[in-house]
Amino acid sequence: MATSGQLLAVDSAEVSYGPIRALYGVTLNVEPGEIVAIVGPNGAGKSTLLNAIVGLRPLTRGRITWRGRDITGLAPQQRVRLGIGLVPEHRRILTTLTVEENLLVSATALPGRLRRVRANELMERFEVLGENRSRRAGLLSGGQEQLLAIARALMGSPELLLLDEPTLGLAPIVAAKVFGIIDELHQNGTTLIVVEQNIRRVLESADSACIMRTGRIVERQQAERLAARTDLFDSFLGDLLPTEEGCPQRPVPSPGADGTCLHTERSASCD
Amino acid sequence: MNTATTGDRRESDELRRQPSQSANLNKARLNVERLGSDLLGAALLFGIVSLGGLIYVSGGGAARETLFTTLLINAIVVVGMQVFIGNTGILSFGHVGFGAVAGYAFAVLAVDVEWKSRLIGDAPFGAANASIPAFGAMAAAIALTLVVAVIVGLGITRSGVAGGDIAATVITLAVLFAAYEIAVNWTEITGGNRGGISFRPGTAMQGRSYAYIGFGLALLIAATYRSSRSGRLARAVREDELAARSSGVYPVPHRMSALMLSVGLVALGACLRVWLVGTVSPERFFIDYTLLTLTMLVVGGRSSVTGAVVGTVTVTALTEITRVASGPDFNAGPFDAVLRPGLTDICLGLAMLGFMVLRPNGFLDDYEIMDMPILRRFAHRPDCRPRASSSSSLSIAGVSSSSSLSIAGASSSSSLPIAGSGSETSNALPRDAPEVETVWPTGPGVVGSQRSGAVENRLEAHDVNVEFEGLIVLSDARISVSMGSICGLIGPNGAGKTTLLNVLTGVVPVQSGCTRLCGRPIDALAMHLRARTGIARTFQNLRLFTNLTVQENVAIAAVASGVSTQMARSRADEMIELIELGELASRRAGQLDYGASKRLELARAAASYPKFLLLDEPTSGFSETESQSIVQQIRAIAARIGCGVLVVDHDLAFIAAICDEVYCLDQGSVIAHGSVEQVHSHPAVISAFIGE
Amino acid sequence: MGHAFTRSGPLAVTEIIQQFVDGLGRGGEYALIALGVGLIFGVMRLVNFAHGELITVSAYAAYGLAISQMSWWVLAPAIILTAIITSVAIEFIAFRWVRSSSDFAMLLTSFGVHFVVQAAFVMYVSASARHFSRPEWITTTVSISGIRFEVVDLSIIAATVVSLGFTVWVLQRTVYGMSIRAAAEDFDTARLLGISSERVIRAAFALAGLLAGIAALFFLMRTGRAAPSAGLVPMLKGVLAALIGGLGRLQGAVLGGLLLGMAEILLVSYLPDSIDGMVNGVIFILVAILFVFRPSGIFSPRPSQRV
Repeated sequence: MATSGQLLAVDSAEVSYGPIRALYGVTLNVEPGEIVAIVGPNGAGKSTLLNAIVGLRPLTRGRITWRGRDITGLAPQQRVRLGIGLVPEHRRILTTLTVEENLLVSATALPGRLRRVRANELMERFEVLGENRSRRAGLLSGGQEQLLAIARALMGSPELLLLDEPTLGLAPIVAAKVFGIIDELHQNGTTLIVVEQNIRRVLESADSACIMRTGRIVERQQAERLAARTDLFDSFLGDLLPTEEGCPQRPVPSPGADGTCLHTERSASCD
Repeated sequence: MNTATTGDRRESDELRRQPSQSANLNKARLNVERLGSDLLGAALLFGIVSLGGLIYVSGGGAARETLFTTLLINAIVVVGMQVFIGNTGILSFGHVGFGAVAGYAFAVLAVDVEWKSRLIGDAPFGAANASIPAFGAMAAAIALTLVVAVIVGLGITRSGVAGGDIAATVITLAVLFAAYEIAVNWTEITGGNRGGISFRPGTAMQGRSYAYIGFGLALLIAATYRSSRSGRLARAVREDELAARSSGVYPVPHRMSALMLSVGLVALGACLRVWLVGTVSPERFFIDYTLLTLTMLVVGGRSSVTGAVVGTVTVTALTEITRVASGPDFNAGPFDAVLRPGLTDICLGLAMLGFMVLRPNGFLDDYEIMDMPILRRFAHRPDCRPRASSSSSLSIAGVSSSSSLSIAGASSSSSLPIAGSGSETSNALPRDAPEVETVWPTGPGVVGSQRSGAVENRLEAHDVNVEFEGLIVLSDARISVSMGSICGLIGPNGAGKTTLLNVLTGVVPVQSGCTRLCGRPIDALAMHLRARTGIARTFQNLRLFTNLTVQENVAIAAVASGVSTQMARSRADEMIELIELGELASRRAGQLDYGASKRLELARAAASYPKFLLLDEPTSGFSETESQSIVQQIRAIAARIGCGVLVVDHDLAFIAAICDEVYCLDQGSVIAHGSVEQVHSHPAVISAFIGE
Repeated sequence: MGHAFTRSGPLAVTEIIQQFVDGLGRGGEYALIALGVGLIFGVMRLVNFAHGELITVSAYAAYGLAISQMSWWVLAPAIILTAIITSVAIEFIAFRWVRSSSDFAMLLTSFGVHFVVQAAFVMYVSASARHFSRPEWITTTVSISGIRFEVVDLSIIAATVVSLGFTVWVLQRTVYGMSIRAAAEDFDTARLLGISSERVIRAAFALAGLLAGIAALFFLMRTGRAAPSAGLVPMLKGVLAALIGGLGRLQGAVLGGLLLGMAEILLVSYLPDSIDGMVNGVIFILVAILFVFRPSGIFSPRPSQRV
């Protein structure tokens, strides 16, 4: 499957949690330097896909290749050393370690001295981390935590960075900063896969977008094209409400005056 | 559904005029049904074990007879342990230690004086000259053990509260060792390590009748406790202590009552065990027996009474097989070197390891015999699904007081989107204090006292300061929410929003300043007491009781707020209906998807009919459409119970859609307060929170 | 009553100092065990009831070497090495399977391991205790201004101080120690960062084994005895010490161990003769009662949980 130009190729990947299947034959190819957005409702398998790429979830079927090399059987720490980084959902900061220690334990492939240099670099780049370098990471605010999570993933200078809901629970002003970082990384040539609820904003940065639903990628599109389909936007969002097997969902009352207001407000506040 | 509800409400008006009779009847019938189901389960278990035993024993031989009696007695002990371990989730090694206390006390009291004088002639406290009939001795021994358990229990239950269950477990281990050391060394009264105390030959227990009685009693108590109010609350604490406390559950009494019943049963089993064998020595109630009983419990499934019995039978069979295999009569050829005496212990240890690795919840997990599909039809098992007729008729009896009536109009339209905002809902009436179990309204006096702006209807934080390790989280934060309105709290991450919720709910103590509910200071109230005075909350990260059903999750919060069990159930049905989870009511909360879990948490918080509902990021991780639907649900709930709502969120659209007024917090202080438009256009808010 | 009250005033002061030193010596042993227990608890929230088996296995190793006339210069490293290997082996065989299980499953797993090891010794080695010779210098004392110090006590105190310093240094200052703490807090995230969590946790067990080995060395020098249940009571005291100090707090574990040792020495001298043998029983009761008043230990853990 994987041609030499592709950075990452996920080929008909399946993942199961016990009897429940979370991914059904997902295929995804990522070219170097692009930003792929993954959107879809809760429970569609977006996080599972990222976890599978980085190796936290073993595949039950299918394979993953990295620069043409099969990495399906590798442990997460080995994949990280190959140049794949994940900023996990809910950030997963090591709260009992200090900010500096959080950075220092990352990128174990680097020798100790280089690690300290790299950590200092990142703490200069993200000033707020430098200011709090010896504070326990558990005392950081959500926005600072997110920066730390990103900085931590950048310690190993990954070629491919996976971001799982990077603006979850962040104030608009901080979320904007996070997207600023995403754009900056993109300009520097890093390849990114971003799972995000804030669809409009992520489509502005992304090159292409995958829509996931119930464990499948149902559509892949150029980002601009998808963003232009505002008429389709509401309807597919409606479709994409949680429809996991076994969890029947009642039809939601069609958005009235409130609903329209919600949209304009939201896009206004996020731009 | 809507028409039915309105119709029922009219009925409820009629019911109000003759409340006591029908309500009590209803209550009584429900209780009988529920208890009936549990007792039926216990009776079935008893029947099955007895029948199996009779068939086994009729195969002949005194050895079989003894084995079966031992099985019954072990079952008493294991079921007793299940009452504590299963319901509280705290692992205890100490129960066998309590058994030692009971066993020795029983032996010292029951052995006749003359025989005793040879063994422990100079026993202190007049024990040497005391001899009482077996039943009296047993009662006295159990009573003494309970006294010991109360003292130790204070440590176990409270350490569980403060330091996690692990500390409690280690304390129980200390109890086991203390009992052993004392039994070995206090030779005056225990006879020491060698002889111990034995009955005069021929005075030991004859027949199995006592074991049967004890076994029946154990099943009865365990089954009753399981479905009791205290049992439910204990399990809620087991699932998530913080969530339970902030729903108004104080863990100590429930853990304590579980411990008392549990130790009582173990003590009974221990007495019978001593009586059956005719002797007591330190080794009999030490690690070996602890391992045996614990293995029995975890093999069957610690969360289920049926599991305890199944485990006892299974492990008894296992030990019997290994005993024969390692005995002299069994020739295993080349494997003889492996099959030595002691094999039983190794097998028990391996069985325990195997189960912990492969199936930590045992064979049955928390399934009881009455959960079997065949039996479900015969028993009136509390079916969690709301049934069209009965659930709504329950809700008349249940729905509390004036609020339900005043909201009649709002709630009947609640499944439709409510267009109006707080001004309409602020007409909601305050309710009588939730800790009082009041089914019927207290009269017009309550109605008259309501004014949304008045101090007595406000939840306030006044100049609150909080500092963590030198980091100022809240500095002179001031906020005031009135009943009937929905108030938003926004601000950048780290502004102290969640901490403010924690301060209001008592999770974090204030360092200066004060918090007031309806004009009364609540700073000194513990978390569970604040919940009971009417402050309920949700959490940023889900904190559901994941192993309990959706219905139980909600009902427990209502029970904890002080209402009766059936009223709690009706409230739960009502709330579950409001959040549209009716079809999943009997699912375990852990099986829900994220969105449903968030809604369930909302319903749980609302089930206590709080005066104030504090929601921490109710839309985090939601898509726009999901956010819209939760707006309707929050509105509907607030309207139904007439409470004030404080919402923390980052989604400005959501805040704009739902709130009457908004506070913006930055670096621990309120930087703006007013209507949504005012706050939204406030320059400080734009620079700190919204950005360009 | 004990003999303490028969002495005159000035002597009583030296007596107190004497007992203080004795208590430190005894407590140092517990502290070393508690340190290992606390370390493992910190790494995987596991109270290792099998920690005592490290002493048991080392004891039999020492016995095996002692009967073939090896000197203590050989025995000492052998004991420590055995403890380290056993510790890592137990993690490899049993604990890694329950790494992300509930507290309940982990507690019972470690209890089960304790039991299987003990039963295996009873079945295949010997149910009764075996004795071997202790080093000659074990009873040597030095006298400083009227107070007699047992050399072994002084060496234990020194070993405890060094071990604590070493452990804290490893955990706080080295990247390797940070990795241990990272894997301890969030196994998956640690792997995401490129840490080989397996290896890191195994290393933590090795470190705990080293500490237990040092404790076992002194313990065996004192007793010269190998029995299937040799490690039981030291383990329990170590676990209790860790609990007294607040589970997972290393400094607390050391202090808890010292307190426990001190209390034990005092009880030995002041308990009435009639219940002289009940020192351990009384200690366990006192600890249980302590938790009525200080439910989370003397140094309660700081609240780090975010709500």
